[in-house]
Amino acid sequence: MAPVIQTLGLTKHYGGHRGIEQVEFEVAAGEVFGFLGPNGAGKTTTIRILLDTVRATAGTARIFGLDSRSDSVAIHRRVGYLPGEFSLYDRLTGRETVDYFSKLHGGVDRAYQAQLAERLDVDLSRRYRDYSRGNKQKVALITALQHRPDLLVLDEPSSGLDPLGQQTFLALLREAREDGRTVFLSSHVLDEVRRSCDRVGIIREGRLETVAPVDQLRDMAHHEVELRFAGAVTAAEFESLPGVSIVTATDHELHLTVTGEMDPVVRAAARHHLIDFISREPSLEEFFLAHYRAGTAAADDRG
Amino acid sequence: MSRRQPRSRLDQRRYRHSLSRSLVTAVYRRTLRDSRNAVVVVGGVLALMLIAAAGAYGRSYTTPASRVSFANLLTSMPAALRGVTGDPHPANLTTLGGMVSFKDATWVCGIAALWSIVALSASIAGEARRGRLELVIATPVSRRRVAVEKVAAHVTGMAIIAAICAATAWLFGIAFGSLPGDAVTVGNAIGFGLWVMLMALASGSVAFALAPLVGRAGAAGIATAVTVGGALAYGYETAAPWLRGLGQVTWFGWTGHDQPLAGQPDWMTLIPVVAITTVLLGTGVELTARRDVGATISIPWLRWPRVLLGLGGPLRRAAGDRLPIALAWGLGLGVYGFVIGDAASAVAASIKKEAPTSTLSVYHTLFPGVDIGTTAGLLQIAFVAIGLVLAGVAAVTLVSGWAADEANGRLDVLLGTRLSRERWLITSALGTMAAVVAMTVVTALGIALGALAAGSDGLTPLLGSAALGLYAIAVVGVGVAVGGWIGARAAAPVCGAAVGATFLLSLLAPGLHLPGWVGQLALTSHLGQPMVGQWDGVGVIACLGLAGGGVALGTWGMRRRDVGR
Repeated sequence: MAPVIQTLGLTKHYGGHRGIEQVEFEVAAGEVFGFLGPNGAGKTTTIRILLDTVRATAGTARIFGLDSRSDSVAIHRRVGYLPGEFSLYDRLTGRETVDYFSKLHGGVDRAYQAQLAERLDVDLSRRYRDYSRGNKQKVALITALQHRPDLLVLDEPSSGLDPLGQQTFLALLREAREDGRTVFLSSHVLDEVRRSCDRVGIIREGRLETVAPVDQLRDMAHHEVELRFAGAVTAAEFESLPGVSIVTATDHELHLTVTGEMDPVVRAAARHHLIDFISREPSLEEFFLAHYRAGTAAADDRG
Repeated sequence: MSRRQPRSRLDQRRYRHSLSRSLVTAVYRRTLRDSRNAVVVVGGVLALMLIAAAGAYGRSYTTPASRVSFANLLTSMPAALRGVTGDPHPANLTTLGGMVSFKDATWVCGIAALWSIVALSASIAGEARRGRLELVIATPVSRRRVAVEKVAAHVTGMAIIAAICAATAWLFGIAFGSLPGDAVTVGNAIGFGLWVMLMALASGSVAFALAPLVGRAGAAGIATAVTVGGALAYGYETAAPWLRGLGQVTWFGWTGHDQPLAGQPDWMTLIPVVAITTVLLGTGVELTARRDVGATISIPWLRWPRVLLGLGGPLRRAAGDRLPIALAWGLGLGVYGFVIGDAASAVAASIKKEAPTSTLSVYHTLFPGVDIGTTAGLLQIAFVAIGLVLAGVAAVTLVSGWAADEANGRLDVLLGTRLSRERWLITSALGTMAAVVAMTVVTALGIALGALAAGSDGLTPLLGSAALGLYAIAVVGVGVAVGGWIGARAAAPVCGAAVGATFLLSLLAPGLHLPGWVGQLALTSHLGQPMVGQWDGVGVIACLGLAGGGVALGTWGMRRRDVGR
C-alpha cells in the first residue's frame, strides 16, 4: 500500500538559518507516527511544509500520493490540522468557531461534533477570547477532528490539556487508528508518544536521526544494571565484557551500563557470590535524553 | 558575571532593594525604548506641519500691509466661518505665530493626542492582553509601580515631542519671520510645547483610566470620541450654537485663550488640564493595582447578530470580522459629517448675508468651482480634507485587522482546510473592502442627514462621500499588495506611511511652494470636488486600479512565499 506521507530530501533554509536538512521518512496508512525532537529541531518546519504553509528549499513531500505544494487544496480536503501555535477569532464563541470551520472543511457530522465537545468537556457557548489555554486547545482539536479526516497532523496536540483532557485525547487517537485513519503527531509528552504511536521519528538540529518502532527504540537503549556481591569485586573484570560501557564500583556493588545481550554479564557475575541482580528497563524518556545527550556531545566534539 | 549572593539579613534587604530598583527602572527604560520610533515619527510629523504652515504664511505675506489685509479678511468673516477654517477665537493674526496658531495648533495637538491615546490605551491593557503584564508583575515590582513607570515613560516621550514642537516654533520664527512680532520668544515656544503636551496627555489619560475597565480597544475608542468630539464642539461652537455649552466643558474650551504662538499665553488655563490629567492617570494607576489583570467589563447580552458574524464563508467572515471597527469609524465620521452638514447650512446662510465680497473672492481663488455660500461647498472645504485623512487611517486599521489572520497564526489553521492561499487572499481582501463600503455608507448617511436636517440638498453630499470610500479602498489595495508580497506584518505600517505621506504631500507642497507635480503625487489631489458633484476621473480610476491591482499583486505574491507568523 502506498504511504500516506512520503518525504524525499526535504530541506528548508530560512535565509542563512537552518530549518531542516534532507529529511526523509514515510508514514503508512493507518499508522500513528510520532515526531520527536527538542525545541527548534525542525518539527514544526516539517509539518508546515507538509501543509504547504512554508515551501521547501529542496526535496519533495507527497501526501496521499499528491504533491504537497501543487495539490495542497486536494490534500487539505482529507486532512485535519492542529498547529502548535495558533489563534482563532476572539469575538466568536466556541460553537461559532467550530461551525465556521465545519463550513470550510465540509462534510461535518453535527452529532460527532457535539460528541467531541462533550467528551472534551468544553462549553462551546463561551467566547473564544474568554477561554483558558486548555479550552482553546480543545476547540482547535474539535476543528481538526470534526470532519473525520483521513490524516490528522497534530503539532503538540495535548499542550495545555489537563490530565482528563489528555486521556480523552489519547482515546480519540486510538479510535482514529481503529477507524484506519493515519496520524502524524509532534509531541514533547513522551508518555503520550509511547502510549499512542506505532513508530517514532527523532529529529535533531534539522536532521532526522532515527525512525523506528517505539518498542525497538526502547530495546536500542542502554540497560542500567546493578550487581551486589557478598565479597569485593573489581571493575576491571567487567569492563572488557561486550556491550558494557560504564562501570562504577563501590565496595561490594557494581553499576554497569549494558547495551545488547545481557548473557556475558550474567556469566561473569555467576563466577562470584551474587546477592542481588537488578536490571532496569529504560523508559522512552531515558532513551530520548540519552540520545540527545550523545548527539549534543558528538556535536560538541565536532565543533 | 554573577551577582554577589546576600549573606546577612541586612545584605538580603539590600539585595532585594537593589533588585527591585533595577527592575523598576527596567520597566521605565523598556517602555521608553519601545516608544522611541513613535516619538521620532510623531515629533517629525508635527515639526513638518508647523514648518509647512509657517513657510506658507511667512513667504506669502511679507509686508505689513498684506498681513493687515489678510487679517482683516479673516476677522471680517462671520464668527461661524472662522471656526470652520481654524481656531474660533484667533489672536494676533498679523504675526507669523498668530496665523500658525489659528490654522494649525489644533491639528498639531490632535495628532499628538491620538498618539497619546494609542500609547496609553495599550501600555497596560495591551500588555495584559498579550500576557506580558503577568510576567512583569510576577517580578518584585508592584502593579502600582509598573503603572506609574509606564506613565512616566509616556510622559517623557511626550515631553520630547513637546520639546520638538517648541524648538520648531522658535526656529520657524527665525527662518520665516520677516516682520516685527514674527519671532517666537523662547518662553512662548515653551508655552506652546507645554500646551501640546498637556492637551495630548489629557486625551491619553482618558484612555489610560478606562483601559483596565473596558480593554484597549474600548478605551481608545472612547478617548478618541471624547477628544475628536471635544475639538469639534469647540471648533464649531460658533457655527452651531447648540454646541457652545459642550465646547466649553472640554479642555479645548478651557485653554481657548492660551495661544502662546500668537504671543498670548494664558498659563493659568492649563491648571485644570493638569488637574484632570493627574486625576485620570491616578485612576488608571489605581485600577491597574486593584483590578484583576486582563479582566475587563463584558456585557454578555450585547452580542453581534449572528447573521453579521459572517460564518458562511471566508469572504463573509473577513467582512464580519472587520465590520465592528468599520462601523465604529463610519459612525465617528458620520457624526462629524452630520455636525458639519448641519452647521454648514447656517454658515452658508451667514456668509451670504454677512461676508464681504473680498472674502468670497479669496475663497473662489482658493477653491475654484466651489460656491462657499452653499452647504455642499462648505462640506467640500471643511469636511473632505480631514475626512480623507480619517478615512485613510480607518483603512489602515482595517488592513491591520486583515493582516492579523497571518500575524496571529490563524492563517495556518485556515489554510489547513480546503481554502487555498489565493482564495484566502482574494476573499479576505474583498471582505475588508466590503467593510470599507459599510463604513462609507454610514458616513454618507451622517453627512446627508446633517445636510437634510439643515434644509439643504442631501443627495450630492451623499454621493460625494464615496470619495472617502474610494480612497480607503485604494489604501486597502496597497495593504493587500504589500501583505501578499512581503508579509502581513508589513501591510499596516506601509499603508500608514502611505497615508501619512499623502497627507504631508498635500500639506507641504502648497505650504513650501514646492513644484506643482510634487503636490500631484498625492492621490487625494486627484479626487476633484465630490461634495459639489465634481469628480476627477483620473483619481477614481487610480483608486479602483490600486484596489484591484493590489488584490492581483497580493494574490501573485501569496502564491510564492512562505506563510509567516
